[in-house]
Amino acid sequence: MNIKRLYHGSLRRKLTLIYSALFGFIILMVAGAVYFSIKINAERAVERELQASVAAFERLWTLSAEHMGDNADVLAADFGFREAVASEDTETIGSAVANAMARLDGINVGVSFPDGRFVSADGTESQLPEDVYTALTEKERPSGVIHLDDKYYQSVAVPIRAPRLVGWAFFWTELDSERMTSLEQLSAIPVTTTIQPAEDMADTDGSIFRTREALGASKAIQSFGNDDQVKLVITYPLDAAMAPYRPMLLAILLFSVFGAALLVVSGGIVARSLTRPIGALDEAVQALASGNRTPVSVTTDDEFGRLAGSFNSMLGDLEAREAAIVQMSREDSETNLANRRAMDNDLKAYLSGHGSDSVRIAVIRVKRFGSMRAAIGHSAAAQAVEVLAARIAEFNEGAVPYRISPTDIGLILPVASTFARIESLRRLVIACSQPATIGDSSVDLMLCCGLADPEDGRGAPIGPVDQAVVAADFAEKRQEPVAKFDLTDYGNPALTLSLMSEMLTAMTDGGLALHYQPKFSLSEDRVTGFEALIRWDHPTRGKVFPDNFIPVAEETGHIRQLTEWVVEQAIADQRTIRAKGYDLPISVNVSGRQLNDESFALWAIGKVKSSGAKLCFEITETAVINDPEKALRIINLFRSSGIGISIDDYGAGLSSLSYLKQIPANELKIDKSFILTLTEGRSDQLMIQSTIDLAHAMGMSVVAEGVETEHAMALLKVMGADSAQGYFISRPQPLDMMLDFLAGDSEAERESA
Amino acid sequence: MILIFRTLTFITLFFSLLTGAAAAEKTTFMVSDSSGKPLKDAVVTVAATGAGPIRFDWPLEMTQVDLTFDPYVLVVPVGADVKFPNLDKVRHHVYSFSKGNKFELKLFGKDESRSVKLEKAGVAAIGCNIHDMMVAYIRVVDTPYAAKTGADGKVTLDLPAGAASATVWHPDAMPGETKVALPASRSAPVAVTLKVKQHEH
Repeated sequence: MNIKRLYHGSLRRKLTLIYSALFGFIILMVAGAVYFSIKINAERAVERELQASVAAFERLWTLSAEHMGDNADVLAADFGFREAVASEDTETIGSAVANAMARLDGINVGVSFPDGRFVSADGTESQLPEDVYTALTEKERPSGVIHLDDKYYQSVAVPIRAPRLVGWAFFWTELDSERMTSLEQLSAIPVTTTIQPAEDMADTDGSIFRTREALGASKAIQSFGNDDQVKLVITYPLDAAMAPYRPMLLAILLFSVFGAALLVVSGGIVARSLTRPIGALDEAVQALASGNRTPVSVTTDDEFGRLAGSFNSMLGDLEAREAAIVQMSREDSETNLANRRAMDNDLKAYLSGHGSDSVRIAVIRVKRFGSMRAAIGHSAAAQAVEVLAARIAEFNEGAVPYRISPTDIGLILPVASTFARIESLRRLVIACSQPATIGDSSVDLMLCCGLADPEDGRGAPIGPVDQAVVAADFAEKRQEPVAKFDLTDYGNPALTLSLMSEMLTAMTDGGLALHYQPKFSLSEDRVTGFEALIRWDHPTRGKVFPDNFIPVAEETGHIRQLTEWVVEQAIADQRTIRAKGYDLPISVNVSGRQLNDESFALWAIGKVKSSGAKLCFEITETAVINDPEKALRIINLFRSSGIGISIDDYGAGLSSLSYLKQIPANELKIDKSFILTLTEGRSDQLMIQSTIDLAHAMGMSVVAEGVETEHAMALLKVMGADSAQGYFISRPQPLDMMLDFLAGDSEAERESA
Repeated sequence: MILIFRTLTFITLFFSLLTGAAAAEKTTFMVSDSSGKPLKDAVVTVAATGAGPIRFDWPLEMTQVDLTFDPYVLVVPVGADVKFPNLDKVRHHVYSFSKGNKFELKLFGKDESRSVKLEKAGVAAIGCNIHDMMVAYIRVVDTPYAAKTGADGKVTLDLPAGAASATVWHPDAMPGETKVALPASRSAPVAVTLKVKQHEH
């Protein structure tokens, strides 16, 4: 087990561990102190006792030696005995010795002659051991220990003189176990007494020594001879020294173990009572973190209880606040209707439960909401939406209206419901389009509706709700009550997002080019000018049509750069054409926005003047609608600078005679929609005839666009149109091909001439 | 020093030659211990056969005076009656446990004299049972050619013709008797070295 985890994992374990360790440490110290002081005391007592024993032994030893010596002296001084020894009367000697031994309990007596012959109590003769004999001859009165055949003897020898030395009276007693035991009994403690050769105990003479198991004291004992030194060794086992204290030590050990166990248990209990509320709080906080709100039940009236109380009340606050936040996040703040987020969530939930073909999304739009809001104010407009929502809910029972934008109300319609159809929605739009009374005023609610089928719109980059919004845009634009989202109509607006930057790049790298379509003079039967038409060959998208990027350029303001590029390119191309020998004007399409831009006008005039180019700007009538005064001033400026003005696409849009009258154009181009049907009906022919006449009356030449048949061209020539433009003559072509075309044309001209 | 000693030796030799020529042949023995110190109370004997009764010109007496035997060593002929006069105020109990010459003279007082006939040639170690430190020796000889050395370790003897060896004895010598070969020339002094035990008294 990982100690670190054990230590960090649980406060309870940590507390228990720390207190147990502390207690254990203290007990250990106390036990150690007690043990060592006892041990030291016990050993001191034993040491004192050992020293006392040594002293007692010494006294006893001396007494014994004196006792034997005294008796030996008495014997050696006896006249009869001396006579017996001097005359080597061994029988008499033996009897005298036996007599002495009978008087002395436990002491052996013998007599040695000067030559080492030894007579013992039974009168037998033997030879003294060599070293004993040496001691006799070298010492006057030897006394001490004899070590013989692994036995020790205390001996005293006294010389016998008659009057010369005739022998020694020899007294000895064996230091057998009995004698040792009697020595041991002198001590207050049960010591063990032994006699050992001195060399075995060399270091410990007279002092206390210590072995692994025992304490001891030794005392050198006088040897009978000179060599053969011996020592008395008194030992006392440490075990025995400690024995009296063993119950006490055992008691301390037991108390320690018992105390430690008690501490672990009680520490555990205390720690648990401490940590249980903490654990409960911990769990509650963890649960809260993972989204479960569980109140803590800690009932103690201490800090933990208060903390738990605070936690619980905080939990309540948190719940209320979170509910409020959820509410807010789901609700439209103006109307208290559910909002877009709520709709997205609900739809997601519904789809996951039912599948994508089970539902339709409808968006009911309040048209002209901006005007309404401007008229009656924000909150009233919101009230109007609220009224609408109530009507929708009433009409379509059970449907939840979501206000997904200020103008739009979204509905999630299950397929099973009859409302998920265009006819039903049309009825809903009509039914709800009643004026609403807001405050004092009556407000018209003009509605349209978009419908989206998540299954149909599967390939679209936007979700079903947005698809319904786009459908509502369609419906609004087309003035229809209901429109369904159509993926094909929708195209892919996302592609246009990077279109402008790519267009700017194309201007410089040759992606953009001008193609030219000739204007053919019907009266002169020759090419009298060109219309420059922009073409974009995109590296990945292929050919991008002007209808697809010019409106975007107008919206984003890039139209100025585009127009400038076209003007410059046309001037450059015209120079090329001139070099080939053709001096022909080039028409350039100029957006209405440019007619409100004085700086553009000045720039263009400057360009034309400096280059000497012959240009004509083709504009639409609607170009002057926004700021007619300014537009006309600029148009006049162009005219006075030698730039031709041509009214383009005449008849296609809203044609206003008043504007036509004001615009000082020198050319009018009839829209190709008229020309294409020219050969089919009379009404068009009439209109074209009258238009040609009108234009001529106003001093403008007329160009017919979209001429695709020889018949049409013939008709137009009859009608008095000045020029024709169209596929019958030439489709728009790159500059070099147009130059080839011109060469062929003039050749034909020369041929015909 | 050596020169002086030689000169002395020469003078002595010369002198003895002169006296030898006048009387019988005399030989001087010089006894010393192993360290060269002259040894007193060494008894030199030369064996003789068929000699008549032996007479010595010193008294055959072992006096006790001042709790001491006097002399320390006494040379007596075999069979002689040795007197033990007590000059002390106290009484003595003189004994000898020596083989062949055992005797005991129990408690005799001042101015009393006892005598003992010593029948066997050898040594009698004399002690007093009352006073253990009183020790003396009586050298019992069976030849007239016997004498003990003085404090200078010298003794001069008339030697019988044809004697080849002499015996030197001292109470403290080890062993007790030492045989010494005699030189052909009687006038030549005989130097004897004895190994002596340290005195116990």
